[in-house]
Amino acid sequence: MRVRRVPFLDEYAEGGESAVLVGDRVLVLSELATTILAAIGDETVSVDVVAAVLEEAFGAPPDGTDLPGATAAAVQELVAQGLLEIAASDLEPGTAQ
Amino acid sequence: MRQDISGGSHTVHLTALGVPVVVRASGSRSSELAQALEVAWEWCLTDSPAGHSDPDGVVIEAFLDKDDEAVCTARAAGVVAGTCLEELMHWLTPLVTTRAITMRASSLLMMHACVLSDPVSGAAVVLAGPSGAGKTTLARTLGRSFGYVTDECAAIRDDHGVVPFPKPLSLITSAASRVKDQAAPSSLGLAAPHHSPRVVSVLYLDRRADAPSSPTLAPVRNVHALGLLCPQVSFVGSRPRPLNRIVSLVDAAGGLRQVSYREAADLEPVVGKLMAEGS
Repeated sequence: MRVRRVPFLDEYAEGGESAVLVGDRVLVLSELATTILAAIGDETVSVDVVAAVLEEAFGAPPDGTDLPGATAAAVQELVAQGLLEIAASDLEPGTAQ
Repeated sequence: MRQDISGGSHTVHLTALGVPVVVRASGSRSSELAQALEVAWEWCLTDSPAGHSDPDGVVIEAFLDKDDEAVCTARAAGVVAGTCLEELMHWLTPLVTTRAITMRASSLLMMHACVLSDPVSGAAVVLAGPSGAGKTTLARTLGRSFGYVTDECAAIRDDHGVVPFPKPLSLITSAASRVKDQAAPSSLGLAAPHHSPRVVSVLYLDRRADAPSSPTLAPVRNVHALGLLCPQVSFVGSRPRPLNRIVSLVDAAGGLRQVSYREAADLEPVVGKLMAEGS
């Protein structure tokens, strides 16, 4: 799965956390979410690339943790919050964003 | 002369957030409505502009009449109309406010907040929070000691000066009534605002019955300050870089602090100290 950021009206980052303004909603983001958005930047990026950035930033996950799966879940949460969108070519047929 | 009379209608001239507002009162009780507006909006009245209407201003048509049919006809024409003076006044206060906010959306940071100012220095404390946080009660209580700048709409320029908006205070007078009384600031003993207030402190209101007996101030990091303040900002996305503008304000005011308190009067020493420190 590849994702990209939706346009933000504004963003502010401090101490690893951030706040973003999307439409008339402001969302305060954790360090994890902030790092994911920074990893994606203005590109369309695969979840595998995001997972690698998270591992570099926060270290290897505890034994038994499914890093790709956990990253995909975090990315999906940001999609659900309207901060990311799945690249059109990666959408399943009939899926509307 | 702030009230014009022509053709049986009365015109009241106000300034709301720096926007010229003309309220044209008509109907068989227009004189009564105009007089009530002049009393309630006493500190927002202006002299009538000479000759022509201001293109950057707002015109509101209001109709007060004892005849139900005439009121229905006026409402159908898009006029704020009623048979009850108190009800019409209740509707007009938010209407004037929202129309003015809309006009200033691209030039001011406007936040749901009570603002009080030091009558001498103009040092202003912004007390922000959602409906029910106690803003009007604070204005009514502390506005007797400090200058009453506004009870619910802080209009802040980029230089952190505040445009005074000492509107009528909307007060619940009876639990059974759905209409709030529109009280003139002087009728509540409030002090007039400094002519040029400037923000020295921004507080986020946390009124709780189980708060400590003495109010507590807790610093809020800027990222989280945005999460608290942005929902209280009108038209937040209408100006470039709104989050950074808010952070600039908060930084200049020493950072956002959340104040936990029980009763409005408990905040008087806190607000006084912040004003003194910022003077």
